[in-house]
This record gives sequence, C-alpha cells and structure tokens, in this order.
Amino acid sequence: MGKGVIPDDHPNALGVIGFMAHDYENFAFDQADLIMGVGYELQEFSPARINPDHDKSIIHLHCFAPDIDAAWQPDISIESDIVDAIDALLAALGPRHVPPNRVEPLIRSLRAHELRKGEEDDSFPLKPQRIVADIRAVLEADDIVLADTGAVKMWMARLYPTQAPLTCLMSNGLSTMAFSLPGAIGAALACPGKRVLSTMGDGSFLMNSQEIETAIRENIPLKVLIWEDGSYGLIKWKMDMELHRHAHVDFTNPDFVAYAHSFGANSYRITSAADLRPTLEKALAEPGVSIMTVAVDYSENMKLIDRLGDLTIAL
Amino acid sequence: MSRTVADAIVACLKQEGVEVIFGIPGEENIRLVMALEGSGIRFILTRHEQAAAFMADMYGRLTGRAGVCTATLGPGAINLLLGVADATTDSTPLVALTAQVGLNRIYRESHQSVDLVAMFRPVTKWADIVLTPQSVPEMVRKAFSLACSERPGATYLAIPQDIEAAPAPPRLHTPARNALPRSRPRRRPHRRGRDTPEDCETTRHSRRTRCRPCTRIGCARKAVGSPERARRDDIHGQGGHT
Repeated sequence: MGKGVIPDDHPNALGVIGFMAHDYENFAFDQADLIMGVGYELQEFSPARINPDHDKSIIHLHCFAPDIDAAWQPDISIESDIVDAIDALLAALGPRHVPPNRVEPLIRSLRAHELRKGEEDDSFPLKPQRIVADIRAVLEADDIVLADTGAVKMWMARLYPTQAPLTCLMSNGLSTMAFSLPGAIGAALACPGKRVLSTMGDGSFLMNSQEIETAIRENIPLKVLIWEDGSYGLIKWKMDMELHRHAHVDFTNPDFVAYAHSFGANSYRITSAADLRPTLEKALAEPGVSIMTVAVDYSENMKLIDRLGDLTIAL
Repeated sequence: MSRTVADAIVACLKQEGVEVIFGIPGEENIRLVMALEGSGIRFILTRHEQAAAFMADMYGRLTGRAGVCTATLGPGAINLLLGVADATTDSTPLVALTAQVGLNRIYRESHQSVDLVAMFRPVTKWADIVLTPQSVPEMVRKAFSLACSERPGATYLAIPQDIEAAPAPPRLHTPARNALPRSRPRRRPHRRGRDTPEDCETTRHSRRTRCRPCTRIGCARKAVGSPERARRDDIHGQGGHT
C-alpha cells in the first residue's frame, strides 16, 4: 500500500516486502536490530515475517494504534499525523550518518539486475520481468497502474519501480482478485487527466470484464493489459512450491481480442516481446477503451523461488 | 412531486461534496436513483454491484474522500460486499448505500429480505438502517465522517423502501459537513507546524508516546511526499472534521 511513498530511486530504498518467499528485502530485516513502521497496517503483511524471533526493537508511527501482535510489540508507538511526526523527529534528531553495510547495496543490485535482465529478454511468451520493465518504460512517474491480485501482483510489487505515492495500486489487506478493472474506472474518474493502466491475469479479467461496457458507455479511458497464462497462476505457483505438483488451476480463455472488440473496444494481442512497448504506447495514447493481452511465461515463477532459496543459503 | 426522503438523502450527499456514485438501481431504490437526476452528482451505472464497490474503493483511495456506491436490497447489496470489505481492509474511505425491505414488512419472513446490517457490520466501521426520515441528515453525516476519519474505512446505510418513499420532514436540519458524530470525542483543531517533540506526552502506564492525534481525513499513510502533502491539505479544507 505504501509502495512509492519512498521513491524506488531513493538511495535508501530497498523495495517492497510481502512476497511469499524470503525475498531480497527480507535480508535487510534479518540484519536489523530496530524496525520502524511508518503507516504500516498489520493486515497487509504479518509482522512475524520480518520479526520472527520477536527480538527486534519496534517503533510504530501511524495515526492510529496497531493491533496486538506478538511479533509487533512497539517499544514506542506514536499516534500522530505521519508527516508532522517525521518532521518533528527530523528536527529533533538532525542529520545522521548511517554507516554503510554489506547487505543494502547487494539488495539494490540484485533487484536492478533482475529488472535489467528482464528488459533485455526477447523470449516469447514474455517473461514477467520483461512485462514489468516495459510497463515502467511506458508510464510516466505520476501515471497510475493498478496491479491485480495473483502472480501479476507478485511481479509488480517486487519489481515495478515506483516513484510517487498512489501510483501503483494493489489490494493488500484483503488481496481480492478482480478489483483492478473496475478500480481503473474509479481511478480515471478520481484523477482525470492522469493515465491509468490496469494490469491483471486472465483469471481476474474474466471476473469483472463486463465493466468494459460501462467504460465505453461512460466514455472513460479504460486501459487494460492482461497477462495470459490460462491458469490461476499464483495458486499453481503455491501448489508447485509447497506440494510440488498442481491440480484444478488450469482453464481455457475466450479470444480476448475478439471479446473486447465485440464491446467496441480497441483490442490487441501482443505477438512478440518487441511488440509490447509500442502497443502499450499506442493504447495509452488513443482515446477510448483499449484491451491488450500478452502471453506470459510463468516458468519464471519457480525459477525465482529457486534463486531466492540459493540466495538465502548463500547469505 | 413533493420532496421525499430520497431527495433528502441526495441533498445530504451534495452537502458531503459527493460528485460521483457507482451502482445499479433496483426495484427498491428507484426513488433514490431518480433523485440523483439533475442533482449534479454523476451516476455511473455498472454491470455488477461488485464492480461498483471496487470503483468507489479506488476512487476513495485516490481522492481521500469517501467513494460512494449503491445497490438495491438483497442480491444487489450482497454483491457490493466484496468491494466494501476491500475498502475497510485497505483503510479506504467508502460509503455504501443500499435499499432494504420496508419497515412495514422487515419484521416478518419477507420477499428478498436478509439482515443486511448484520452482513455489512463485520466489513465496515459502522453499519446501520435508517429507521425514520428525521434521522437521514445525521446518519448520512455520520457515515461520511466515520468513513473518512482515521482509521478510514467503509460505512454502510440500509434505506428501507417505505422510508425512501416517505415525505421528507418539512424542516430537516442538515448538520454542517464538519459535524462530528457524538460517539467520537471532539478533538482539538490541528495546528500545522506546531507539533514538536515537546508536544508529545508520555502516558504514565507505558512507554508509549502519544502525540496530538491526527485529525485529517484521508490516510496519513498516503501523506509522505510533497505532492501528497499538498493534496492532504486540500482534503483537509474540503472535508476535514477538526
């Protein structure tokens, strides 16, 4: 939820936590002796994931008190306007020198390397990292992307460099599927003039795609990018991780291009890696509703888990 | 046509600064939806109530003002639930308004009747039913005030069919937009730039430090960063309840 509050290009930014495996950012928490939660809501992410042994000092800053949790027992809990509290703390503390450590540059380089490798990957179906990189390349810093729940969310949350608050929207407390297509209609009405892109899996898309008609009728510039893999990809991923096989997660899709076209929308199928970026640019620039679908290679999912596992052992 | 409770509700929504409502009309809320005509409030007709709630959810998250969604009783209201729950669990201000069967039949086994207030209660900060026309301004104000005050979240009002169609009382007192519900303590106005560590006081019984409570609407979580800070002040001006 706070993604972008600290810009990802800030020298102290280490990214977003919340992935189901021990991800890059977790290595920083492993080493920390103090965690300061600013605007952190426990429902978003269990504090046991960042303070498993209950041994870290905790400072909690929000405009309401946190719930009781064995892994999140603040030594100091500040209930205040967040900005004013931070201003007051900065004024009281003054500039501080933070000694360099080994892990932070490593985390930043691992993340940058993963994204850069994705950017350069021309394989088809597209690697998720490539899709994330191309969305970032096309959207301006203030444009809004909604990342629906599912494997899409994992890749977008982990890798999408976000420079401003409320520009990468996810459902986190409840983590519901299918919010992002109608959510993009709400976002376009809330922020007229901003470009809004909704990105989701094929599972989420077919749960609320009827609202394409609403957007067309109400003349709302709905832009959708579907990551198509013919399955409930996140659940398949979880099954593969924990049960080493999967079942009852695969489905077939209608022809999304013909489907969107039948509503009167502009619709596009990405047929090569090189095709994604110009198609996104065209869709975002043209008036009306545009629906794009791209085949995604989710064999990357388990490769990521293996890489992170190796990293955990190495560190 | 004489003024009904539906018209009074719309007047209250206008008073709250509502610009857009997402939803689907049903047999039991046709007067409310009709009263929106010519009100200046844009009605976005959706194809599923769940989508209307998600639209209001993201609208609320981005503006810091409560997104508003509406549906009819029973199935329509039940379809709203998911988006309403999403707003609450992501601390997003949202107000859901649905029809309910009339008070003239709600006490007995009745067509399309389910206990909607009980259904919405676990996924909202406050859920209630409008039992009398006189209560409309206060209940609508309370719904918006609670939705927007920290911790932001969803609120829900059920409007029985016969109440919606009833004549509006001739002199309905409309609470000011910054009126607070009585159940919540009135807080001191927040004065910008005057919080210092000295303003914080440590309670006797714990190590917790409690600064002056935040009294701005919208998620303070969103407020770190200069563009957001500017907007937060806008929000404060439009609907703050200090």
